[in-house]
Amino acid sequence: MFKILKKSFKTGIVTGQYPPAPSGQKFSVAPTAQKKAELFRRSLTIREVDTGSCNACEMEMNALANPVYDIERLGIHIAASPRHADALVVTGPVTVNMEGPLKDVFKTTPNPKLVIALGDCAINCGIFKGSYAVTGPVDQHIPVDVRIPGCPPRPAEIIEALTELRKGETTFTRWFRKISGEP
Amino acid sequence: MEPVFHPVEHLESIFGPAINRVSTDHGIPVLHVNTNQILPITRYIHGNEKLRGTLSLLWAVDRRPRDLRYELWYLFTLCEHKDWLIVSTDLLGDERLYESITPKIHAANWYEREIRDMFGLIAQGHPDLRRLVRHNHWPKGVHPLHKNFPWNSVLQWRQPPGSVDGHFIHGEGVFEVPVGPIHAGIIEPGHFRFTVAGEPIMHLDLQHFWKHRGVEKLFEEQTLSDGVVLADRISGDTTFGHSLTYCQAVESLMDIHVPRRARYLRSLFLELERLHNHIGDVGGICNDTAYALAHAHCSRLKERVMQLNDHLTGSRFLRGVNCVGGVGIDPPAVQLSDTVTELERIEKDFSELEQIIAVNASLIDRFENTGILKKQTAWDHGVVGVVGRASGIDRDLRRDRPFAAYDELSVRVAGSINGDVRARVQVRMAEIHESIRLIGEIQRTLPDGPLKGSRQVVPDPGAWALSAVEGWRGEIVYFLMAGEHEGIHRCKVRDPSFVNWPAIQLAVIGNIIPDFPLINKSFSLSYAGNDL
Ligand code: SF4
Repeated sequence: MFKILKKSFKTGIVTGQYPPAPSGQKFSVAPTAQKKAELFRRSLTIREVDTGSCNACEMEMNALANPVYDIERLGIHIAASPRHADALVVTGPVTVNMEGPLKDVFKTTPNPKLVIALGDCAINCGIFKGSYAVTGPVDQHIPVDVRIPGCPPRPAEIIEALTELRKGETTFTRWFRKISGEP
Repeated sequence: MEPVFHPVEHLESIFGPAINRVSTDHGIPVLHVNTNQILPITRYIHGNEKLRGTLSLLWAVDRRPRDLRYELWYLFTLCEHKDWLIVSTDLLGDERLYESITPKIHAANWYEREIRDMFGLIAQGHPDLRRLVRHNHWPKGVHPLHKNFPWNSVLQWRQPPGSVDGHFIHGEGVFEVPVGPIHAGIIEPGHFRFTVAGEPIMHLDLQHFWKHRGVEKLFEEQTLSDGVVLADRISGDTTFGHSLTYCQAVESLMDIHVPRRARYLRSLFLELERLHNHIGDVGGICNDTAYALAHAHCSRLKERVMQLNDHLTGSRFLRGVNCVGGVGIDPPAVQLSDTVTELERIEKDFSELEQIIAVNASLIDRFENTGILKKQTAWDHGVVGVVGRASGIDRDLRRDRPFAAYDELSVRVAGSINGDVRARVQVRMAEIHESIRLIGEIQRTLPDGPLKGSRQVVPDPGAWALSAVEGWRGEIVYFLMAGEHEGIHRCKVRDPSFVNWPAIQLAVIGNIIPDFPLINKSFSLSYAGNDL
């Protein structure tokens, strides 16, 4: 017991000890997606679906949950079932064998929902483009709201994109703007 | 003094006329035999006391359009000296049938099913010829690695006809628990079908290949020097291991001499990859017993190693570091000494954690005697890597068939005989310390010199090379055959996961389902590398 406590004290808080996402690479999130994300500004529950990635994208998603990135502090949770999710994060090109399961997951996720395509493969099939076993990027099968490019995107970049996504106006800020007479 | 034993001469003396021809390529003997002699010869190699060969790879090559024939290649690793021996046979013209060796050599099971799916060649007498790669909804007669199958004729997904064809056990009180393909955590997709009676698992049926992306066919569209980009992306966690194996195969085809400095750096990066994966796995295994504290510490340490990777190479996964002929990145000496200092700190940190884990009784209770893979089972199925070493299979390519700079570095191979989850954790922990020691040694002895060798020859179409690397999971093996105009005629990729997955089906029997995630994590296999 003493050892465990000692270790924890010695380690201290490591959250945030990571290099910032490379600058000059601002993520632009479509206003429509920001509008959809309005509801999830303070709490966003994500379900991750791998449709054929090389698993590096998964590892970076997993890294988001480690003490260094700790996305829970930003109100982002990983759900175990699509039925509990607000957003689907899809990685990898969609393989012919995963096309069915992906569509099923999309159907079982309750509305309103966001779909985030993570990594070059999910956005445009990357290096696997054209293969007989790849039936297309994610947006060929389900509507995609946000695209986070990279092979794989660094966790810091994913965090930045998710923050950007939830920056849009809410009903409250819109009302506030209206009564304060701002344009 | 006992006369020196020559495996090839010995086989020739026994099988005589059945062996048509013996050739030697890159120092590997190849026995060309008639198709009907495959079973007796391979069986002898596998079972003979002096040879005791394990099947390391079994693959087919379609030689069209040049020659109207298929070739089957069987690669064995012999027990002594870990020498390689290949047995090869031709299927001429329209011949599609050959005799299965699976009833005698269990390790051939998935390979023969794979060959049937990809080439349409049927192993007669195979006990279980269900589809492996081609899921039920694939149309009949589609064999993607046929040379006349266009790489880009995209298949259409259809609602699978009928139900899953699994192996079922029927009886009173027998239940079936299907899991996946999409799992609860952030894991890759795979379908597991458990048959249970009460708590214990009676049978596990794996259905994989959900992520099949057609990698081997995609390779055939690449040139030899460009293929490394694809090799980098076969299994993200083994980025460096795969690209290294691929590069070594091309280098041996083009007769490139890799400079010493590049070989040392390759060893260094390979150990870094081993490190971040092993540390992550130790944490992951603890997490599957709900010990979140160890998981948090391990994922913190893993992150530090990945940031080191990023700092050294600009990629957290060591992507784009390897190139044909050497490495593309030369970290300055200061950075390397900083790396070693940081790794020493990480090791100290990790050792403290080890002590905390070791005294946690409830954790050890979950680890011990869980998911036992017996040595004999492991040997029968040709299990490799960490899982094999934890079950008493003393094999490590870094020592047995040195590549990169391992001929000049001495590797202390970890091992255990218990074959349970605890043994696999212990082997990983020992390898973490060994990797850090090796990186220190590399940094101290790193020679100066160029980073890239130049090519000597243009490989003839049909020239081939084999290459193997001890990645963090185990042996990665590539077979590469050159095509026209420096293209690739065939690239067979074998991630260690492909041989270790079938073994997990045997390790779980008698365990309870709640222990399955733990056993699975202790094997820590790749789906992407397996499905290709
Ligand atoms: S985008 Fe890159 S890292 Fe992500 S799955 Fe594709 S190849 Fe892998």
